[in-house]
Amino acid sequence: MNNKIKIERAVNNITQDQLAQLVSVTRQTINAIELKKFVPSTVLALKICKVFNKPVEEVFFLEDEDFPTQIN
Amino acid sequence: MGTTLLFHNRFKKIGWILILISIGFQLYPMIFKKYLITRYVYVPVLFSNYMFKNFRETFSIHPHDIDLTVFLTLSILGCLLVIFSKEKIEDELVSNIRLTSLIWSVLISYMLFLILTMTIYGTTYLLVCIFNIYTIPLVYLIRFNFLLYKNSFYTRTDEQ
Repeated sequence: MNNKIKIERAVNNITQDQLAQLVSVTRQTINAIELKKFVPSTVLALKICKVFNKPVEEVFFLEDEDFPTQIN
Repeated sequence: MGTTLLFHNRFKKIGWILILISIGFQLYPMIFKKYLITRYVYVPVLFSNYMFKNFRETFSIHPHDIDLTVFLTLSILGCLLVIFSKEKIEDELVSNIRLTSLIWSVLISYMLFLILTMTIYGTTYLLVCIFNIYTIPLVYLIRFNFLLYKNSFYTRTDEQ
């Protein structure tokens, strides 16, 4: 799963630290999500989207690798 | 999404103090050649017997060497408090790291125990059984703190 948190942060002029405080997590968590090292829970994803005032699928989106390969 | 089975963050410090006391308790007699406490104390006994002695007691109060008992009690309590205390900010990344560290520690502990069971015999095996209880907390603490450090390192080096 990929995300546009970094872009949205830049658009809204919010630092990792500020976003972390707004959604009650550590800055490390925001950083890990941005680097695709950690997939957030639905609750956290919704909280982040609420900060950016965007629907969840505009910030978080699936990639091809998230779908299992089809066996012919 | 709350992890309810965890103590308050302040218990972590108490846990480390208990671990340090238990280590000091073992090191003191080695360095100063005398014991900190009276070793033979009357204690409640559920069951006890000794090898090479025709001696056995159940549900009684008898004097026993409590050197190992005190060390194990303090260190196990300390390990439990350190492991099961919340971080200052306990979020889902920390919970995730906690879970993976626990899986790692249990797996490594049992693998090690399996190897030692197949290769160590005699009375040394008893020591293996006793000290194997520290493999889980030890591996857990190393893995957990390493991952936390790695995450904070990435965050420090990453631009805002």
